[in-house]
Amino acid sequence: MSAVPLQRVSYAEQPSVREYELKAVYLYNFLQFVQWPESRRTVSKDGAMVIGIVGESPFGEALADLQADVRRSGMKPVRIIQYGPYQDHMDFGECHLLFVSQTEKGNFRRIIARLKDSPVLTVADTENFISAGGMINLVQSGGKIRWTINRAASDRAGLRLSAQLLTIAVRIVEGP
Amino acid sequence: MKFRDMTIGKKLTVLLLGAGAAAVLISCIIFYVMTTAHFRQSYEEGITGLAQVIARNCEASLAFRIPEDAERVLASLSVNSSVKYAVVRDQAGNIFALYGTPPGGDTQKPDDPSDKTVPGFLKVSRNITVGGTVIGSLTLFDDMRAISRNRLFALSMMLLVVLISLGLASLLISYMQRLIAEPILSLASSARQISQQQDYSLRAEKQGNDEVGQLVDSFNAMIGKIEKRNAELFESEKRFHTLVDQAVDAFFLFDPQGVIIDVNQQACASLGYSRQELLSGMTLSDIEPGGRDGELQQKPWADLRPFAPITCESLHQRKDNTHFPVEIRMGLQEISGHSFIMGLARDISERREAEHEKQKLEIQLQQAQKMEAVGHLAGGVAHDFNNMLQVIIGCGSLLDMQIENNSPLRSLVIQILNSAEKSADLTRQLLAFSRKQVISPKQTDLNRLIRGIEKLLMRLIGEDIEFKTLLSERNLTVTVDPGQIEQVLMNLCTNARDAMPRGGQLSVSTEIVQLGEDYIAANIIEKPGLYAMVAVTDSGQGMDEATRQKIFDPFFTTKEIGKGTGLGLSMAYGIVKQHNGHISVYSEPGRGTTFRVYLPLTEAAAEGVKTVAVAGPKGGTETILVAEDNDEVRGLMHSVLEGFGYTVVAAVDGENAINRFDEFAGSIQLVILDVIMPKKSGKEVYDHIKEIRPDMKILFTSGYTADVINTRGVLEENMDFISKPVTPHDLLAKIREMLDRNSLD
Repeated sequence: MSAVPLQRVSYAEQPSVREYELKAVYLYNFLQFVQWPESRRTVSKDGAMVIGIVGESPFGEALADLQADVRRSGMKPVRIIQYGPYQDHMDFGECHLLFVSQTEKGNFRRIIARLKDSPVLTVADTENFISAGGMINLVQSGGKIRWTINRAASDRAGLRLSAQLLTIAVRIVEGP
Repeated sequence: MKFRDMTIGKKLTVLLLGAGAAAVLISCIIFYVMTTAHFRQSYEEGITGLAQVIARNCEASLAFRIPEDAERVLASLSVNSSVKYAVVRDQAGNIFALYGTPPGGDTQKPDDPSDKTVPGFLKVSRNITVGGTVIGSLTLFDDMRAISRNRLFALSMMLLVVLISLGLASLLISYMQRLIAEPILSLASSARQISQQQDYSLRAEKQGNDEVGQLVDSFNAMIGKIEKRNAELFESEKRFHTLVDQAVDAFFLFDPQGVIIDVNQQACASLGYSRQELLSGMTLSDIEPGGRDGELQQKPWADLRPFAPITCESLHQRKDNTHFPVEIRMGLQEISGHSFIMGLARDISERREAEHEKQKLEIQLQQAQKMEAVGHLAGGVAHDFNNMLQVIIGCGSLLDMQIENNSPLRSLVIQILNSAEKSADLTRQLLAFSRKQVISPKQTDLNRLIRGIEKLLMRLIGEDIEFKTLLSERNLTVTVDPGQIEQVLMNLCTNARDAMPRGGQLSVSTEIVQLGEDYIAANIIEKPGLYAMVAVTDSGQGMDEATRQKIFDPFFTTKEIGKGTGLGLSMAYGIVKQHNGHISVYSEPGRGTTFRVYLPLTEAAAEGVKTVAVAGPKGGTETILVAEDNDEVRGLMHSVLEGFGYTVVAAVDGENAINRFDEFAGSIQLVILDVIMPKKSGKEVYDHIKEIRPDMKILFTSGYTADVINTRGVLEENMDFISKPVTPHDLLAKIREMLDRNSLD
């Protein structure tokens, strides 16, 4: 899957690719490496999974490109929902993955609380996300983008994270 | 070597090993192939599984483009040291992560995404997929050392299996060899032992009930039959050998050159050789007379052909050079390529003797028949003639009565009567000879009978002849027809008279004699026992051997024609024989003749004799010289004397007697001399002896009665004399008496 966007990327070139193109791919990949509970396995008929972005999307065209690539190459389709800045009435229930933009830094807890441990993978690339109860936080490490994982959060949501995610993770936190 | 000729052990070895090896080999190969294939498969599966796991673990790494993690995962391959090289490539084929060094050295370029297969290396590739989409690939290269190890292991196992199998097979073979070969070899060894020792009472040991066991049974049965057959053959051979060996006839086996190969007991006995001597290289020539000197003219066995036996007569010579006649039957046999001649020899000396005897008897029979025939004829004629004579005599007598005494016709009548009387005498004699005269035997005292006809006899013999009677004192009662006996005596006296034309002496003596078996053997009498003997001795001209032989023949006469009829003695012979007696004659030319008539004593008289019979004759151990020219008489005396313990020196005539006496002069104690002997007479011998040993006891013997000899001046009064034939009893008694009579006188 990553072969599509990464055709342009060679082994040593990861850091120079636009950050959010890469992160878009990561999000899509996360979908592959996480197991949702039975009730959320497939939402729509075409088996597409849903990525929601809350806050200001840093991805630009990357997600749309990703989506197109995915469609073209016949991979598992994905839908993107741009929620915009957080508002309390927002229902993220149809998302499998929710990316919380940096702009919503102050709403981390609220958003997490809003989700109420429903099986939505919460991903951000901002500090304190994990301590706010977020599940995955993308970080830079050794010139590569890795992440920190809050396992307690994912456990509460009933999400099973692949061991490989855990292996690659820079840090695994057990709470909150 | 042909397979058949190999030992069972080797055969078993070859077969079992061959089969076993093939089986083991096939199994091992299959095992090997299957093991290695299975192992390879498992191994590949394992490596594939490994690749699978690693690929899975690289999914995120590859998806998230974080090669370090993939490399870390790949690094875990170092645990499995057999994976030499692993590469994760992205979908474009670019290398994402590496581990190890690519095999094949320079030929392998990591940038080349084809990842060519390298020989000796197992290449396993797996796609890395995320979400059902292939995002890359993982390729592993395994050096397959495990497979090699496994192959080696499999080979080792094979080898081990083969070795163990070989070992087991060898054990099995040696066991089977023992199991199979041993009974067979045991049987073979038994057979060899039986054959070598020729001992058929042994049996092979049966070790099991299998085919070899059956073979042993059959073998033992066969040996049993051989043993039995051998025993039967031995019995049969023994039987036949005994038959031949103890056959009555002599059996010879010899080769075509005449060398004796085998003989039986009779052969040895008849020839006087031992078996060893006969088989020591003697030939048939050696046992035929003249054969030893090479004078043998014919060798009848040289021309023998098979199945054409010959019979011939020959002589065999004993070891002591005496001969005996044999009838030989010979045959040629060929046995196993060798020629043998078998001969059977029968001693036919008895047969010859029997033949001679038969001839003699036949002649005697013919003689008797002749005499009988003549007798019948004569009797027939005489009978008729007698009747006619009666007429002549009767008429003559009547004429005699009617003619006056002084008539000239009277002498004619007297001549007629005389001639008629003589004719009557003649016919009487003829009739007597032909035994047609009726005899009426009665108990007769011989002595009285003789005294009764003494006067008649004296008148018969005339005045020129001196007549003497010497009658025994004993009772000579015989059962005879007296008239006939008188006739006999008269004939004998007539004969004596005719032998003494110029006068002489005639004596008649009687005695009792005991005639024994020897007299029966010589065909003189039929029954042994006591006989009365009447001897008529004359001092006439005697007769020679030839005349003596014929003296009793009818019509035999030494007189001129017209004198004597030749019937007198025949008649006497006939009469005496009729009375179961015997008549014998003893004579020498110029020395007179003695006739002896033996008549069996009646039982009563015999009893009388027996009651006064003396005790059995005594023997002795002295040495006695016996001089007697008659072989049989001498022989008889010799054996009688020796039989009673005396030592006998024999002499065959007067001169011999003198020589023998001189030889043994010292040891001789008594001399028996025949008065009449060739070369020197008994008297001359007597004189010779008396000169040397005046005290020597000498007993004279003669066929003549003592008185005759005496009166002819041969003996002197007190010389001891015993007349022949000598009964053993009397001889022994006499010499014993003489020997015991010694210088007591």
